Amino acid sequence: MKNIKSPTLWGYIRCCFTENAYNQGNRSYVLQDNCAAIFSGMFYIFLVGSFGQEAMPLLMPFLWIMVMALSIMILQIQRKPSLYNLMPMRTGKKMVYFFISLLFMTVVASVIIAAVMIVFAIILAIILAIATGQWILVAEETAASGIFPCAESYGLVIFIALIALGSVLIIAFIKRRLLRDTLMFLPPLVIFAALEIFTDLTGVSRRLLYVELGASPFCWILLTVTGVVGGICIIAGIVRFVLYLRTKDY
Amino acid sequence: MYGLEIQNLAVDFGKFKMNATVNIRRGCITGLIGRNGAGKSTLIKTIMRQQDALSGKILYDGKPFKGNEVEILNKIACVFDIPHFNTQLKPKSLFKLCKSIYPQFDAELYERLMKKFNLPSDVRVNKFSFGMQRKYCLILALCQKPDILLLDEPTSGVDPYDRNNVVELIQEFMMDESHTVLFSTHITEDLDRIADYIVIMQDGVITLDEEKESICENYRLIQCAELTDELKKEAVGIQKSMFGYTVLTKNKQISGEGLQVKVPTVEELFVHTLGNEVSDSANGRYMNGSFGANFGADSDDPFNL
Amino acid sequence: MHIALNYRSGQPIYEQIEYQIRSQILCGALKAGEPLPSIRALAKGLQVGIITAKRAYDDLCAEGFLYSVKGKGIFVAEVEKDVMNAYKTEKIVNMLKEIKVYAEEHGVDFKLLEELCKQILGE
Repeated sequence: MKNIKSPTLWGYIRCCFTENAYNQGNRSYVLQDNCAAIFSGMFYIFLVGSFGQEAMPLLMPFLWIMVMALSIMILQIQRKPSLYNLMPMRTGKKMVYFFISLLFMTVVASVIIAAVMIVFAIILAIILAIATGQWILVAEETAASGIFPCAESYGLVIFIALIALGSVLIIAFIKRRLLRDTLMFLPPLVIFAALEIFTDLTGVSRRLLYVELGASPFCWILLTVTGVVGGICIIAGIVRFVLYLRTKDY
Repeated sequence: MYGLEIQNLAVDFGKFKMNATVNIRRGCITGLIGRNGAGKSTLIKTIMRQQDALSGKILYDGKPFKGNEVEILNKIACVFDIPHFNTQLKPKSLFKLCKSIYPQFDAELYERLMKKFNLPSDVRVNKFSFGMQRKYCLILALCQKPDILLLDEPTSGVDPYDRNNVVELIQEFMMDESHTVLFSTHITEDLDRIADYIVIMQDGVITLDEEKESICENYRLIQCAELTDELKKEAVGIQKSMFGYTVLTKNKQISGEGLQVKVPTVEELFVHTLGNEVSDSANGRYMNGSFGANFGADSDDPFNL
Repeated sequence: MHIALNYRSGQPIYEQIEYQIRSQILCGALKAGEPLPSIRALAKGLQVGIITAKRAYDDLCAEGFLYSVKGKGIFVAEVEKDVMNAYKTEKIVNMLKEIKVYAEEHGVDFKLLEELCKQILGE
């Protein structure tokens, strides 16, 4: 009896990295799943912001990762011949490896995000220093709106929305699958980072900022849109995933 | 005995429906022919589990897929109609990738075949010509050391010199009696030469599954200037040309003055039985009935002649 | 063993293979006891189907020109002299019959045929 081996975890990760997202099929599926992840992430931010729960944003990345996990899994079940689909591995094992590789990627992504946040903070500090003539590193908590014009909630919201939209478009066109999936972590986290840095640097209370955001009708519109779009994409993805998991007996 | 046993494998795409039942013998080369759109690629993709079937059964070397996924996916290799991997990669990266996906990937064979087909390792596969891509897909399939090889038009777009190489490789693969090859092609000369069995697919259904030698021998191709009543009655398929008619019949006894009778090639069989169109617009319709309907049945002038 | 196949002649491949192996045995190019390639090796070498190669070998075994030893392979059989002669003469007889028919159809005198025969045999 020949010893038939399955690929190792490293082989699995390697395959994910080199698989072409479009090779998997539908471009619309790819965009759909990108939207599911990003919109649901944004929805979460706005939701949290509207209700002013301060601690919750810290949990957001991790909850959001679970949403991401689902959307990535969903992408893996495109019915077009691919090395990923042909991998001689049981479906159960593939899913286990998927979660492990996701954890691995989360660590990698967190490191990247931390680096991004630091760089962003430094750049922002430099811009502020040039604009105001003084280094702002620490500020007291005040109830006043800060130096930026976009302390007006509309401006900030639009700024966030643009980042998110831009990210969706950029990431939708990255073809290397796991790279793309890793980068999909970034937009909501960059947004989150931006908010955190903004509040730290300008002294605006985080709670008040979120309340301000939550108070604006524009924000509520965005909340509804992102919630609905994200929700639909997630549900569609879950349905596809369930259908895929059903073992075909033929 | 059978490399693949397929029973009532059903697929429904709305306009196209498939229901295939066929057994592919181990140790032999089976050629699959049919018009474009007959369902050959769908059948191959479904066997490879890349296309879901609604119902049916497939046994791979006697084993069902459920419970034997790892072994089966290792032991069956396929050259699909389009490359199934990321063509943005260069062969050297794909080589490393395949080695990690298929632990028994044969590196030595890979080197030898890349050299034989003269394919560069350092150029992205999407920059290869179409023929080069087909050859590369075949190399990856063979280096997987499978027992069952499914080929979807492996020599399409390949130049005659390399087509010969491809045929040679398939035969080398067949030196092992436990190996099975199923290949679909439009290049019927390849089938005439190396196929042991011919399977014909029409509109999603298998209409013929026979030893190549015997099916050709059971038919005769008659060239004549005029269509006699006898010929019309016995005809399975008729083609008209400027100089006369060629009639395919099951009746081996037909002879006469001015008639040239010979054993048809696979191509001639294909053209006379699967074509639906008028080959010459001069006179009415020449309808070739479904091959399966005429095979073994007495035709009762289904032709409006 | 040398075999050349003509794919366009209309004659089935297995018949062509049989004919050529038989000829080589009849004229002594293949000697009794000589081993022949396995079925698969023959199929690969000639680039023909495995069943085609098998058919050729099976037919020749049935005619008594070859024999197979399980586990060892296919060998040229010791063919009896009169069997060999019969095959040799059969082909010539068929060809002569064809010449006769042609001569009759085209009004060629039999005396002329005889003359031509003597001429050619004398060369």
